[in-house]
Parts: sequence; C-alpha cells; structure tokens
Amino acid sequence: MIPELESAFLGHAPILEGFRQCVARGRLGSSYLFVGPPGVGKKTLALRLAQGLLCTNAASPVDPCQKCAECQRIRAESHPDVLVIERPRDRAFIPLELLVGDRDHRSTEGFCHWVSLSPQSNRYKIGIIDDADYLNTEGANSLLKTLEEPPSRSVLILIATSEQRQLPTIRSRCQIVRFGGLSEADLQRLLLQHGHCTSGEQAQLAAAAAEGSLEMAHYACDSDWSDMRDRTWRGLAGLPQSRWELVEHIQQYLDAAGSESSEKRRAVRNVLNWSVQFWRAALRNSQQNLATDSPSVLTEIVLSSTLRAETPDALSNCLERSIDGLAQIDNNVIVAGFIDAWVDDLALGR
Amino acid sequence: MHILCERDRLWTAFQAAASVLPSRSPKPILQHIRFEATGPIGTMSATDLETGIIIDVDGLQCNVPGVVILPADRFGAILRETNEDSIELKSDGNNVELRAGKSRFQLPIHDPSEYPRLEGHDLDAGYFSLRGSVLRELVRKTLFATSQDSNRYDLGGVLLELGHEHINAVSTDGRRLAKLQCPCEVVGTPKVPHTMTIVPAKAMNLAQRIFGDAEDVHLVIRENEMILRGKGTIFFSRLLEGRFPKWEMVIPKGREGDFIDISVGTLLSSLRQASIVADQESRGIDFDFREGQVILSASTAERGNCRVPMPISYEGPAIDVRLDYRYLEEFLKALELDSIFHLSVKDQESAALCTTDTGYAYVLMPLSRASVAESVNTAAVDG
Repeated sequence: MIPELESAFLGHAPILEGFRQCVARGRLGSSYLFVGPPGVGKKTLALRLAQGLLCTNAASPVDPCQKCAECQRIRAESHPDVLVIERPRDRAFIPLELLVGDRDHRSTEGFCHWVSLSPQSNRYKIGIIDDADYLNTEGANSLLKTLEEPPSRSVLILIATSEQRQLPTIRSRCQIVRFGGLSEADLQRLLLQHGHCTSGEQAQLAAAAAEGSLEMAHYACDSDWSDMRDRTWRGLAGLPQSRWELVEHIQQYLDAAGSESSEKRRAVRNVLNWSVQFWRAALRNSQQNLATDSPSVLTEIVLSSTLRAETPDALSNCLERSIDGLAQIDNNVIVAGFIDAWVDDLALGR
Repeated sequence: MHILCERDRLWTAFQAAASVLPSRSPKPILQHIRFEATGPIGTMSATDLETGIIIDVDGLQCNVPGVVILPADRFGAILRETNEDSIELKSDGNNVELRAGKSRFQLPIHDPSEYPRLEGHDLDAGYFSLRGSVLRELVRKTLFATSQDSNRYDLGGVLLELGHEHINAVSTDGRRLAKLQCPCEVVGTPKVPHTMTIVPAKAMNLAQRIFGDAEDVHLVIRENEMILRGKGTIFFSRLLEGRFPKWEMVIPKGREGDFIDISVGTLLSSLRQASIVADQESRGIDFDFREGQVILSASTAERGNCRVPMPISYEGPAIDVRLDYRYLEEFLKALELDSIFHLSVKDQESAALCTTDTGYAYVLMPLSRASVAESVNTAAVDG
C-alpha cells in the first residue's frame, strides 16, 4: 500500500518523540531496523523521517512541512538523497542487483553504491529497504559492510515484520525500533480518511478485525475477502471433521487468485495469516484470556467452537505449524502439495 | 509553453541528455528529460540522480516560456523518425503537443516540481580550466585501475587533487595504482573543499565522452559534487565518500638509477604470447631479468608452458618477479604503441614501478611465488 504522506500522521507517538530527541541531541544512528506487523506505518514513518531530515522548513525532524520542494520530491520518489528499494512483486527475494548492481555493474550501481555517494543536499541521505524480510543470505551479507561502516550523514532503515527473520549479523548492526499495531480509533479514522470505507459502521467492523494493521483493515473492507476469511476460520474451528471442506475451499480461493505463482503464494500467505490469528485466539480462549468486550467474528467463532476442550499444547502446535508454513511459503515450497500437508498436520496436531 | 525549434538542434541536445539517463530505474520520473524555454536559448536536462547534465538549445522561437517534463523514449523516437526541419512544441500543463510537419503527437507530462533539481551552478567565481583532450587522456590512463570490488566503494572512482598548475588523478584497486599529472589553469579563485574528491568511475567515463573533443573545459569541485562546463553543456556528478589511501606512500622512492627503457609495442606483443598458456586464475607470468634480455615464462600443468625472451637494455644483477599479465596489459594499452616507458623492478617482494616522461606512474604489486607454492602444498596436505 502506498503510504499517504500528506495526511496527519497517526500513532507511534513515542517512536516519533524518540527520533526527535535523537536528532536534537545529535545522536541519530546510522542503521535502523524497523520491525512490526505489516500495514502499521513503518514505511510511512521512515519516509516522514526522511522528509523531516531534508525539509527546509521543518519545525522538527519529524514534522516536515509537506510543501517545500524537498518534501514534494520525496513524495514523488525523485529526491536524489532518498532511495527506497523493495522486493519486486514477481520475485521471492530482493534481487542482489538492487543491492550491489548486476554482474556488469557490480559495485557501480545499486543500493550500496548509492550509499557511498555524497548527499546532494549536503545534509543527509536516507536509504530505505522495504521488505527486508525478503533479503536472502547472499543479499543480507552484501549489506553487512555498508551497515557496519556507513559514510557519515547517511541513515539506513531496514523495514521488516520480524526480528527473527533477519540474520544475527544484520540485527547486531542495527538499532531495532519496534512498532505495535495502530489503535482501533486511529484505524477507523484512517479508513475513512483514505476513502476505503464509506460509513463509520463499516470502518468500525474492519478496524476490529484488523489487529492494528491498516493493510488488514483495508482488505477487511472488502466483503469477499472477509467472507473468505470467515469461512477459513470456521473450517479451522471444525477440524478434523471439516478437513475436506477446508482443503476444497482453500483450493477454490487459490484458483480465484489467478494463474501466476506469485499471486497464489500471496493467497496462501493470507490463509496462513488467518490461521495464525485463529490459533492465537483459540490459545487465549483456552487460557480464558480472550478479550470479549468488543466481540468480533473471530471471537464468536472461537467461543462457539469446542476448542476450549483442546489442550494448550495441541493449540500451540497448530499455531506453530502455521507460522512454519509462512516460512516454507517464503522458501518457495510447492503450493499444490503444501495445502494438503498443512491441513493434515493441523487435523492430526489436535 | 509554446516554442518552435529546428529538429537537428533538438536531436543533438537530446542525444547528449540521453547519455546520462538510467537504462532502467525504479523511479519512472528519471526516464524523462526536462526542457525549459525562457527565450531564444532553452535548456534540456536529464539525470540519474548520480550524474546530471544541462545542455543549451539555441535558435528557439519562444512564443510562451515554460517548462515541460518529456518522456525520453517517445520524445527521442519522435525526433529520430521525423524528417521535418522544425518542430513545434506546445504544452497546456497536462499534455504536450508536438507538431512536425503534418504529424501531430500528444504526450502526457509530469509535474515539473517533482523533477530532481539541476540548477544553481554559478561557476564564474573561479574554476580550473583544462583541455578536453587532457580530460580524455586522464580518464584513459586511470579509469582501468579503479576497483570493481563490491566492498571497497571508495576505490570505485578516481581521486582528483587540484593544484595551481596541474591536476593529479589517482586510481587504485589495492593491487595496482595509476597516477597521472596533467596540466590545468586556474581562473579566478576557485574553492577547493577540504574533503577528498573521489569521482565515481561511471561519471569520469561519461565526462570524457561528453567533453573529450572540447577546446576548453571548466572544472569546479564542491563538497558534494564535481561540475564540468564546456560546449554549452554543464555536467555534474556526485562524489564518493570515503578515505582514499595515501598514494604518495605507495609509489616507491629512490629508484632513480634503476629504470629500464622498454618499448610498449614489443612488450605488449611478448606479453600476449606468454599469456596464452598462463594460469587463468592467478594470471601470473614470470619475468626473469638477465643481462641484455628479459625472459617471460609461464608454466601450468593444464595449459602447457612457454618461454618468450625479449631483448632489453639491462645490465644489472638477475631479478625474478612474477606479475599479473592483465594488470600490465591494461597499463600498456593506455600508452601509445610506439612509445617507450621506464620500468623499475627490485625483487619479488617490492612493487614494480612503471613511469613515462609525461607524468604518468603505475605501481604494480608482484604476485608472490611462495604463496602459490604454499597453497599448492596446503591443498596437497588437505587432499
């Protein structure tokens, strides 16, 4: 999702304050790792920081004016001192040529070469690697030297969903900034502001199902998407009896996603994320720890199922299997066989 | 904006601007060029955010001044395909209309405020002046020795040291070093930053292509960029940040009496012969200096062996060194075939030094014979 830089920034006030103080004391670090769930504003905050550091009228380094030429060029992605690289949609990993140039231009193109250039504005240069979850070992290793000894006046920001998905050598070279989810009130405001929802009621429902993620909330506004998700949850709640229906239903969802393997993988990732949400709620329920004050579809399904009788071990096995599944999908496991094996494991794990 | 211009003038300017356009870029706006007309002389500019160029386009009939951001691929194709003498360009802020004779094209355009900034180069306070041919020579003699190693970005460019009468250009990749001193003139009082001026290899190459045939090129160095001006063109490049090695300490001293004069063409020919059977990994060739001759030899189990003697005017004690033939070949190719250079070798531990009478020096580290033998032994033990 393209971050909306113009709108007032919501959430993450302590992180913004942290950066404000760092710059005020002249202690801004050179390498950061932003971690947190997808769609909570990590990239937006990174770009806002870039604008703040380069803006000519900024009141503070996290308060860019959004009007000056520098702010406009950052928004248009044409600022010479701000570079954002991300995983191309059709690739499983961030390709090495984006980091260090292709074979013919090794070390004369790419992110690391760009970092070695002097900032044109003579102030800062900010390099952002979105999707840092998708750095493979070769790619991550090519970054180590740059992360360890970046030239002065450079700020490098890696954006990831999990610390554990980064190599220890990357983690140890970066300051880690952890992002939580957005509050439901902030999500509702953003959904209405961006025009994803037309009514307050729809926004409230979507925000409740989103676990703090604007990306999830955005999807949840789509009724087909939420139908599919609810059916998956019901299928999971009915295991092992619902095994065949669940497999068939997921298969239909994958077929509808398109013939491209990248599209299918994205759909499987959705299913696995739903599953992770589901087993997490089930586990909380088994510990009588499920928040029931704001009832959502998921709470309803979990409460009406017989899952409480399951041992916490069995539930956490299922949760773990789904998290492993996400890693397997990222490692290019063949989708067709994967769904059967995964649902079998869930059915047996209970 | 509304202008009329000769097609040939636009085409020449476009070709120069297109030379800095990135071949592919994740930023779509960089695949565009900026065209500004305020009077009879307009400017065309392009950038890949590392280098940029501004070219004057004269002979415009400017009815309404303005700026347009044109898609480079389609604008270039229109200029190439049309046979008309003049082209009319008209923009309403959303689209640009191009008329060439009876043909008419309408192209979507970008907001000029989103295009990277390329102006503000006031060079008249002072600059270094050099001939285009000198710039070309400088690039030819130093560029090949820059580092291709992805871990040493600061060696991926040419170090420029500006003096009152000459410029020193130095490049190295850690195993060899090339240094050229070339003449320049100082006009006004140019400021020279305290930081090191390391210009990326790609920018040096582009600069010599653009200004290689210019009479007079003006050079200004700022803290974050190098600016070149000549032939109605301004070219600028960002600099590399980092610490370049102290090159004066690398060039061996006190070798004045030890130089052997060698003909470039003869050595190149012998070197090529010897390299036929040389080990393709270490690329080492043994140079055995004896009285009156040097014997080039190589021997590998897979590729065979060779012995290529070459007469030279040497009268000292026998010296054996092993050199990387490709490094030596690149140096020889940067010289005129019928010229002479001076070579000084001491032993297989010390650097070989090549110089010419024109202020060019090239330092080459010999390959260690011991380490090759050692690695063979280690491999045998491991095996």
